[in-house]
Amino acid sequence: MDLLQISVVILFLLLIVKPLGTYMYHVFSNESNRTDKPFSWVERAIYFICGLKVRTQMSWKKYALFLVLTNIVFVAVGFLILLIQGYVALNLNGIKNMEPTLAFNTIISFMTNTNLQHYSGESGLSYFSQMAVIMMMMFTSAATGITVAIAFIRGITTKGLTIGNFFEDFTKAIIRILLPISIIMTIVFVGLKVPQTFEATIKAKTVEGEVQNIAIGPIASLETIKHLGTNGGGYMGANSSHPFENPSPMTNVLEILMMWCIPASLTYTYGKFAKKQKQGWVIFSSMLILFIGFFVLEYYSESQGNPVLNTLGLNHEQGSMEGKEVRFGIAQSTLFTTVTTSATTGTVNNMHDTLTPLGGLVPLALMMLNSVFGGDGVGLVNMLMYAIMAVFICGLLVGRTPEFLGKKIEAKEMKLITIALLAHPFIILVPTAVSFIMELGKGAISNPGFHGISQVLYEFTSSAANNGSGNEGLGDNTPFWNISTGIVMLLGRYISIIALLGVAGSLVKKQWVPETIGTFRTDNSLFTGILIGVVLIVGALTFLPVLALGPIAEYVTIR
Amino acid sequence: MTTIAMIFLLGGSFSLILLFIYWCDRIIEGTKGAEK
Repeated sequence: MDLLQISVVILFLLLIVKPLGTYMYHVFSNESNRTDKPFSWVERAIYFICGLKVRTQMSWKKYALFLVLTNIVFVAVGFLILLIQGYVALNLNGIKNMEPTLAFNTIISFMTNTNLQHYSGESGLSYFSQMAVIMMMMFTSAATGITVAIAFIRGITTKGLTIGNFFEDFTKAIIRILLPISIIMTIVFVGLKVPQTFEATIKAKTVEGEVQNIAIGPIASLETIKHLGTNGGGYMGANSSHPFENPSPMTNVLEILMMWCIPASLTYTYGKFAKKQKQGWVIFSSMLILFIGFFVLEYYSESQGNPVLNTLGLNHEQGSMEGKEVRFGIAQSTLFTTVTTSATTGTVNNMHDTLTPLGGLVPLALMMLNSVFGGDGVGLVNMLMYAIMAVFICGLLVGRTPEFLGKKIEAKEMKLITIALLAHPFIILVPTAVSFIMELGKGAISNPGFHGISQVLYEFTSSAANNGSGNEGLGDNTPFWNISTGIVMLLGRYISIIALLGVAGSLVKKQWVPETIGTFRTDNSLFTGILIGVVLIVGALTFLPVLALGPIAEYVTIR
Repeated sequence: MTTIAMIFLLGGSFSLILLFIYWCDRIIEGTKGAEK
């Protein structure tokens, strides 16, 4: 039964990839197509209001500059709203203004598509903040990621001086992709019993006479963009394990597919832009193979039960159900965990702190690799970065100038790729080490021993990968954690985006190199294998030592 | 006071990110100059 559930979800994903990938190609190809008719009038109105009647094509530098500046405006407005939310409208539950360091962390978290939450939504945010800050950021950060992917694809597949117009791509991503799907899925979620209301928190009297607060609100609309935009920030503190956010196995499957569909379909869009569909399938296959490998480990580890409890003679037929919802079971919990950390969404339907050691290693490893589907847009870009790295290594091995899609890869591109590649482990490992030196960091650990290392490592890995899921064992709502993870999220998001847009800007100017018999092909199964190897080897070389100190040591200790 | 510190931290972080754009541009353009 478990296998059937998992196979059906993967089958649905495979069915979505082509139509959605083709649709996204039409949206961003800048050629007249059928998507213009229903949406172009809305876009024209937005362009008119924003003074963007003439939308010139941009160099990579201009594209990156406007991307960051737009994000700064959203951050400024959102930060202000969080600081004064107690005085703003739609505060039916009397929520107070947010503490400044927590507001700093929250605003960066949502602008960078991380959605790391050091607060509980139901008690920390007003309805206005949930909609005007959280949901708005969920749309804009996802759109930012998609525009980066499209600009990067244009850079490596076309010839010219520009990589598109940021404002046009950004508007199209929201109006033609995120908004329509979100509206449809919100209605579906309401039909599946997810609340959508402006009513205040319900105060119920329990059988024992106690008063219980039952939080409700505009949950369904947040739930859809939370997954579609690979955001992950829950309306409730318990995120998608809460019955109002994810009431049934049906909503669970829909949530999995929603967070998976855009990152997976963008590989098809890439193939369409490259005019060689095989290129897209190579990237998709590499991601899927890596995903399945990690998922098998996750499922096996959790289904075998907790080793400590097993030695006590407890029945482990249901697997390790600690921290998991009975309505989801092992299959849907492990699939959710693997998808949420591979697609770097960060939504959770079970407690990651209570995963078995090897089950906990999988989400960590997927966030460390940050390219197995990845977040909307950035996952594809990261995988293409590894593809260029693979071509470069192969070129060195055979003594040829490396080429990717007919363009020569030179030192300047490799320098930028190296910066993006090294920044990721740097912003994970250095803050983790610093946290262990300082009492401010060590004091937050709730679980001694090797698992405590995993808790700290998970927090910074989740921040750097812009995932946002929490290990939840860490006491992380303190100025130290709010500020340190805030800075890590910023660096994790923008260093790689800017460096890789630079690579796109450099490649777009290059002449095509005609394909010869000696050209190293990047559209066959051999390259798929090489790409997987490069991802795993680079990841293992960088992160294996720290994984050995955390989840691997814990596994060896308790097995 | 903490609010002002956070505003400065946000401003400073984004300023460095904007500078990073120009640094990356120098890597691309600078290397081209060296090749010439």
